[in-house]
Order: sequence, then structure tokens, then C-alpha cells
Amino acid sequence: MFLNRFRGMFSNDLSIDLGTANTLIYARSKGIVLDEPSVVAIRQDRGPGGPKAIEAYGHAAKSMLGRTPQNITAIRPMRDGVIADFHVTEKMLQHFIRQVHESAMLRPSPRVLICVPCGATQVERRAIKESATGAGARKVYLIEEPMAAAIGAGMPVDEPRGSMVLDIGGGTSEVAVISLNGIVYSASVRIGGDKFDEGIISYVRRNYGILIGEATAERIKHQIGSAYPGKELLEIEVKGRNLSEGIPRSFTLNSNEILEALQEPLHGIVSAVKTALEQTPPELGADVAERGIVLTGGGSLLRDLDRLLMEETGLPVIMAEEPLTCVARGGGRVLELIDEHGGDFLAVE
Amino acid sequence: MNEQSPQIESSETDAANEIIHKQQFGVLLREERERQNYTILEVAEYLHLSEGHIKALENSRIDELPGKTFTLGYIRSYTRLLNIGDELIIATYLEHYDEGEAPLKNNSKAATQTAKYNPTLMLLAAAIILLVIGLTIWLQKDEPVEPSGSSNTDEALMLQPDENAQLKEKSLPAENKKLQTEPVPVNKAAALAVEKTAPVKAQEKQTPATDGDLLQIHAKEASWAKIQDAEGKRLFYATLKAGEDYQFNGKAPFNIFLGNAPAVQLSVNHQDVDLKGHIKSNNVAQISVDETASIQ
Repeated sequence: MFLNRFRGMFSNDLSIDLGTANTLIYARSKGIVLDEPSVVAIRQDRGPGGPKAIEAYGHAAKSMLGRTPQNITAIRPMRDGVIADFHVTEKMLQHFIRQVHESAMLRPSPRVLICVPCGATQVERRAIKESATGAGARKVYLIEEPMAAAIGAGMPVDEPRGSMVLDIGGGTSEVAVISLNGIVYSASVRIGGDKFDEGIISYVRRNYGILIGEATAERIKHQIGSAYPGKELLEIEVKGRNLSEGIPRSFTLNSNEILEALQEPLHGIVSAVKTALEQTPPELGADVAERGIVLTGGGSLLRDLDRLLMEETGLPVIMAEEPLTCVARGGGRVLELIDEHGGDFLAVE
Repeated sequence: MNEQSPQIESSETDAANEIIHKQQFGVLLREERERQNYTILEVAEYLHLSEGHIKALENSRIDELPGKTFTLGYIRSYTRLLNIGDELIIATYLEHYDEGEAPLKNNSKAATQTAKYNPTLMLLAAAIILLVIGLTIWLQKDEPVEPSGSSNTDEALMLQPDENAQLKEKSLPAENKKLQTEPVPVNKAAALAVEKTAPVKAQEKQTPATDGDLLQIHAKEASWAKIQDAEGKRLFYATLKAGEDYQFNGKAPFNIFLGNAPAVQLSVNHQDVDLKGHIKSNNVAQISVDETASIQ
């Protein structure tokens, strides 16, 4: 106990955005210190049942996704915003926490604040808490993701005014209305960047008879993906395996096709926002209508997504500054606020 | 069309303050909008904002806008509509915003600063660290003194030139200085026999020759060595380090085993020992040397 506190004095308080796609760590008074994909590559020699060892984490592991030999598997331990593989998540967290502490002498034992999707169940929350404890955290706080996102985006959450935030992550999208440091309404749909990729993969298979991988789909989304018909038509040349010939072929996709491919997941997000607006008490709804909805998360970087939401809802929609790091930064701010006022922001376990 | 006229009016009233307002972000937006022939209503409809918001933006009235996050968002959407870069406008807005917020910000920063460090905890940690450091230094100082206290044991005979010399230097600086400035004639003779380093000189003084015989070794290269005196006492059982001098007191004849004999110079009672003819083909020598430095 005492040793933990002693080690804690040499550890930074961390706010971790343990996302499906990326893990970000914000250290107090240092800023964002880590931004790595949530991917782990595991090596298992001597066939099934043999000893398992971690081959790589983060960027190195992501470059292995879909390109591994038999004895290595690159996996993403988080799915839909919650833990899919407990032990691997714990190892990954442990590695990342060590990576942000330069001192090799003492094992770091920081206070950690982790964001959970507001749709996460009790069991899923507990799993996240325990994996962080197992990774060496001295104390673990949980906070609901939209709350952290709103604080990170700089929204006035402590005022008696309604603020609506839409956080589109890798696995989930969260929409919430916040007032007086509390969540008035929140909803979580399991649609995010991954669903966009899946939409592109199935569109290409359906219309071209060509199979592409997750990494290629992600590249297409980043380069020409858009959520609303724009003025210019973008094109990209990609390569994939032709299903009937079984041979890799090259073909060209344009942004309108991707728009069509993304219709289903986009529709899911739009209807989540509309439901949220329906459920919001009228006073808060009026505040939202006046000032607008704030978009955060990596998914909001999809071109013209704000335009789509503006047209669908008729409300102003604005992008937060640095949407990718909003949640982690917001968590860091909450850590400071906990020291000042106590933890009114924290999620119940 | 009815939108245009109040806008022109307001721009005329602002014209007088043009020089002061040049640096304001709203002016840049308004000029660009007018150049591209958009009306305020069109912009407001496109951005789904109220006309009041757009006017407040263009007139740089920060207090009428809803907070930094939202305003930055509005500016970004607006510049995207006008298809111009947002960096300059955002930079001027932030400058403007910071001026108004500066005193507030300083206060909150001071508050977080004090909350960040718990002074009692930090003091406690510092005290513990100092205590640990002090304890280690004190223990290390004590350690070499203990064996030299019990002078007649085997360990005491196994001299370690470096450490003892340092100790000597610390405790008797005056004596040491004397030694270095005016070389003693007796030492000169010894220096002829075996090349010596300064620490060894100091060493010599500290342990005056006992009634036994003196064995001196200079290792040019590292060599394994096992040395026993006539009574079978083991004087040394380790590797001689390259370039170091060693000396041992014991009763001759000494039983010496050397792993790298050609690289080792021996002398007994300041007389060199000639190892020629005793070194085997693999550089090993196993000899017994009496007090007259002759090999038996």
C-alpha cells in the first residue's frame, strides 16, 4: 500500500482514451504523450497450445494486420468500445503505461482515468477497471466518453445550459446532452469508423466482385470518403483480389461510390442524433438549437459529416478543435478537477 | 435584398474605425463575404445559424458569441463556405479572446498549480530519499575500515591498492603530500625494482613491513594468480588486473601459480625474480620463490 503510494509519487496521473481504433494517453502537465493504434501482435510458436508471447504493440502491430504468417496473429483487443480480450488488453495497457514513463527504476503506479462508452454494461466497465489495475494503476477512475469529449472540446459543461456532443469513435458513436456537469441524456450506438470500413469492403465486393482488406478500406475512407455530396469528385486507385478470377486486380473508386457505401452507418448515426434531440427536455433542446452540436472523435474527420448532420437536423453543427484527442484531453482536465472539487463527473461502476 | 442595406450602413459606420478594426477577425470575414456577393441571410441559412450570430461574428463582438469552442467552430464553417484559409482569422480571434480572458486565466492557473503538488508528501519523499542516500554513504565509508582493523587475518593481507590508498589520502592528507613532494630514499630503491604508482606509495606507508617477507607483483596484462606463503596461508586467489601493482607480506618461500606468467613481474624483498625457464608453453608458471628471490 505504502510502496504503491511511493511509486505513485514518481508516476504521472494519466487519462487514457482506450478506444477501439486508437489508444491515447494524456499525462498531466505534459499533454498527449502517446497515440498508438489499439493493436497487439501475438506470436505463438510450436503450434496451437504452444507458449504465447507478445510480438509487437501499436503502430508496429497495426502494420502487421492482415499480413501475418501462421505463428503470428495481429488482433485488436477492443471491439465496439469494450474489451474483447481481457488479458491482451491488460498487457497492452501495461506496455503503454510503461512507455510513457521514462524512469526504468520504479515500476510506474499512476492514477488512471479511463473513458468508457455510456452504453457499456456493468460487466464491461468492471473489466476495464480490472485490466487497468492489472496493468499497474494505483487507482482507476471511469468517466463516460461523451462527458470527457465535451470537456476536451472546451464546452461549458458546468453552466446550466444544454450542450450536445457527438463523439464518433472507432467502434461506437456516443451522443449526449450535458448540463451542470451531468449527463441529461445519452445514447450509444455501436457504429463507428470500423462500420464505415466494413461498409466500403462490402460495397466493393458487391459491386466489383473484388475483395479488399481492412487497411485498404481505411485508406479509401481517409482519402476520398465523404458523408455529403460535394462539389468535386475525388478518385482513388486501389488493388484487391478479384473473387471470380482469384487474381489481384486494380480498379478505380470515386467519392460518390463511397458516399453510397457509407449510407447505412451514416444513417444509423443520424437517427441516433435525431432520437437524442427528441428525448432532450425542451429548454435544453432550445440551447442546443441556438449554439449547435459539437462533433468530436476520429470519425468526425470524415469529409462533410458536419454538413450532413446540419442538413438532416437543421441545427448548426461544428467540429471541435483536434477532434481525435478531445476525449483524452478532457479526461486530463477531469483529473485536475477531481483534485480541486472531488469527483462529480465520474461514471458509476 | 433588404439584407444588404443595413449591412452597408454598418460597414459605413465602421469605416471610421477601419484602421483600429483592421486586425479584427470579423472584418476579414465580412470583406470576403461582400466580395463573393453573399448576403448575411444566405450565410446564416447555409450555416444554420441565426443572423444575430453572423452579425456578431462580422463585427467581432465576442461577448455576443457563445464561448470559444462554438465561435471557433462557426469561424471554421464560415471560412469553408467562403473557401478561404482559416488560420489568420482564427489567430486574430484567439488574440482578441485571450486579451479579454487573460486575468481570469491566470487565476485558475495558480489554483491548479497549488493543487498539483502536495507539499507534505513532497517533503516526506525528499526526507526519505536524503535518509537513504546518507545511510548508503555512511555504510560504504565504514566497510573498508573494518577488515583493516583485524590486521592479521588472511583478508587483511590481501591488499587492495586502490581503496586503501584512497582512504589514506583522505585521513592523512598532510603526510601524503610530504611523500609526493620529497621522495624518500628508501622508496627510491624500491622504485628501481618495481615500477610503482602513487597509490602504492601511500599504501606502503600505511602497512609498515612486518617481520615476514615482502612479495611485490606488477601485472602488465591481466593474469590469474594464486599465492600461498610457506605456512599454506592463501594470500591471493583472483585475477591480477592489467597495469596494477600488488604487494603481500608473508613467510617465504611463496607458492605462486600464474596464468599469464610472461606478463607478470615478481620481486621478493625488492629483488627481482627471474621467471625464465619456468614458464610452460601455455604461459602458465607454477613456482616456489624463497626470500632471496631464487626459484626452488
